[in-house]
Amino acid sequence: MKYLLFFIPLLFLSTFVKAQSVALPDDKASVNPANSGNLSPQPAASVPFTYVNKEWLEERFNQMSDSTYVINFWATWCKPCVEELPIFNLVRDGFVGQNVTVLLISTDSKKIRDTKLATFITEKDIRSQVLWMNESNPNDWINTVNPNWSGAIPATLVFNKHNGYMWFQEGEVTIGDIQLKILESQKNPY
Amino acid sequence: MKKIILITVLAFALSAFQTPAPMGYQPGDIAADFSLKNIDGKMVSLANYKSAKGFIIVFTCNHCPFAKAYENRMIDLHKKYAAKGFPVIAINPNDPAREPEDSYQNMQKRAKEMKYGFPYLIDETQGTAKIYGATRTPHVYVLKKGDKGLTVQYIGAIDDNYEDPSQVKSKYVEQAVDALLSNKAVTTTSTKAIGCGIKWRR
Repeated sequence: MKYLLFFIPLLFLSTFVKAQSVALPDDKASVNPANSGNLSPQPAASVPFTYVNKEWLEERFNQMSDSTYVINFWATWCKPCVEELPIFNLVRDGFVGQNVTVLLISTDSKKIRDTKLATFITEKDIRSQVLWMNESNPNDWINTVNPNWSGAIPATLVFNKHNGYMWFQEGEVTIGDIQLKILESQKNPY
Repeated sequence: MKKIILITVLAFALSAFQTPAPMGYQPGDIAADFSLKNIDGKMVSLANYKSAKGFIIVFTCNHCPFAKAYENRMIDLHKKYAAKGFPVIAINPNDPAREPEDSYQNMQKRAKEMKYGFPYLIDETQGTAKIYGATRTPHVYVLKKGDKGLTVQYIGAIDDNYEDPSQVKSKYVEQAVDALLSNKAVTTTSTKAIGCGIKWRR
């Protein structure tokens, strides 16, 4: 019993220590997507983003994986989304080698996809994998992501299927939120 | 001791699974009236519309690409349904400090340019958006006048394709209002859509 009592503060402490180290991103040598798991679509060198759809989302949520996924829904025209993009670079770089995959799903229109998205990714130095949502009616897939999501962006989720962990937030996130949720998601059992 | 720990652990486990209570209106709820400033400086309330059978309330704004994409469809909804008793009432809930394009002056400018023909109200306190549970722009609430007051009949998107009006398969708002006009129940009472999150005051 006393063990447990010791263990609880330790958990908090370790969270704190880990969170501290995360603030120092690895160097950019980590060109490969961090432990992206076998389901993650790998971008070809010349294509900065891949298409996904509702089926892809379902597969992602249902297929067993011990990776922690950080998935953010955004768009190039969405100011608060763009403002928080650097957070996902920090998260991606900070958790290299720790079985964390960061995916940024763009809900931009076809027109923006074809005219602006690729340049935008380069200009903003987005280092996480960008995916483009290839669905015309959001009403068909918003509930697949989370029933509590109204559809407003930004929206972010952190989940780990193996540990049964799921965290969802509509609206902006902070680096602290994401770090904490990733660490929580990696506790087994969570 | 063991019990306390068990209870603590359980409480944490439970709180982690709890979903937040749904905020705002659900279909079937009674909607509150409001008094909000129109672009002409006058206050507008739903009670002012004595002969209306209901309303198409659209939380919208100037800056949002989705709101822009739906602007003409919003204008068309008013043209089609105002005379039948369901006028459009547009409400901008955004904090102009966070999004200057959505200032009162810019609202006046936009409404004039596009000849809105319906009120474009500013929700300065954001209270109306909060009471209704609006989260994004555009976010539509179809209300029907009845004995009990205004009941919410539909919440969601105008239709199922924001980018290409020619590819629309379901005109959700039109279907809802058409049903109400012929005294039928609305079949699709809520939909979800990607939209610009409302810029709440910080």
